[in-house]
Amino acid sequence: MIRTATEEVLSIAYSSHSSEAIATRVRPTLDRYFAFDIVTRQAMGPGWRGFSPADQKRASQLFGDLIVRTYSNRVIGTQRPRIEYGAVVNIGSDRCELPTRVRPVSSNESFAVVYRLLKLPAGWRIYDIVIEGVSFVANYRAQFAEIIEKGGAPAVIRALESKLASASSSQS
Amino acid sequence: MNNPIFWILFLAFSLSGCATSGKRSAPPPNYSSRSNTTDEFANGQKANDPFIRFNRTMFAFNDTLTKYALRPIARGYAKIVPRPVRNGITNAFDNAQFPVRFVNCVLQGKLKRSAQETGKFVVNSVAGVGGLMRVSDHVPSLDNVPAEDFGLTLGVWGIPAGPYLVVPLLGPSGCRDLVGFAGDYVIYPLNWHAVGIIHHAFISNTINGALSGTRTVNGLPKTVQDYDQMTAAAVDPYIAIRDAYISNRAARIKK
Repeated sequence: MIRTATEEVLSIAYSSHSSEAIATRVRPTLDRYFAFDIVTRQAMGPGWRGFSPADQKRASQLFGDLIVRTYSNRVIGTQRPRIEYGAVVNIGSDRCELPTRVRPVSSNESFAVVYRLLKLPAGWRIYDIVIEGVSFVANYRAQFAEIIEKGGAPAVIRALESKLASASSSQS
Repeated sequence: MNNPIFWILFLAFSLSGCATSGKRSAPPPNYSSRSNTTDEFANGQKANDPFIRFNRTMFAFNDTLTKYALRPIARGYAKIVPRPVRNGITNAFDNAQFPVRFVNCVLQGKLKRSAQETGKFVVNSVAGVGGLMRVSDHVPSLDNVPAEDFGLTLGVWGIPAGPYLVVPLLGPSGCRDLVGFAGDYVIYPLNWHAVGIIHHAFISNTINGALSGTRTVNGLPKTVQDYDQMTAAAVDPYIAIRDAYISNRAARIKK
């Protein structure tokens, strides 16, 4: 399933010519394979429960935009990497991990990427990606923890908005 | 005991004392698991960063330095020297670093890995023309040998990471890894004159300066690119890099 997912995402990403195009084209596919709501909730940590429903909606929307935007920017101008898939490691009945190795064409280094999946009523969904031992969700949780501690939901939304604004202005 | 290794070990053990002050306790398990996701991220340790104010200042300093000096140098260099040549130079320096990885494999008791390192070194030095080409990537058993260093060795020996530190110019590190850095410096063959193995000071200093300068500048385009990629998606770049550094080192110790 991950193999289909990554191949699908990669072929969309590497057939598009602008990062905006990638972002809009890749989103439906990502939504199909990623549990974005769980990713966001876990990335925000326990402070998430203090968010109002409106804030939660806004924050997850901005967070999703940020992720898709930054990663599609990264793809532009690079060549499609080669990906080797390892064997699935089952962790309990509703959880598994898929180790992969990504080999960029331009560099002589490769890196380990582990997809962590969770069985939801709708099927298996990715809820975290661990790149060279660094968990995507845990990394964001560490970042958000301090922001939430200082200013709660409004601070998170402000931080995401300003990040998105600066990301789009520095792109040109 | 004039041996620098003893001095480094002594320093490592005395520094590990400063590590224990860190907050090591996991947050209380008060997270109610709604839906079927138990909160496996909650038990992550709080980062050991007592010098956060100093570190943030250094981070900002390094960031400014990257912006105004390193990035322009990296861009200029990348324009003059094409990527295959840069990769070749990187490979050659990595190959010269073989003793560092080998010694650390042995110190960690990883004999199979030390044999792999030796195999890599021989294959790349001979077939890869002095290490310029990493031929070993095409040998399945020599592909992806995790690179060991003395900071990792100390970690394997049970010495805690200690407080996180952002070092001017060098970037993210920690108490233990800084000690490791010093240890590896001694083992790295291109530094040998500095600890008294090659005697003619002026000649060896000049050669050494040129070599380490080449290595640094040659690696810059990649370093700057990595830094930009890591900070691009970050809401708080300082925390993002701190967490990435600490998690990556911890994962490499387990490997």
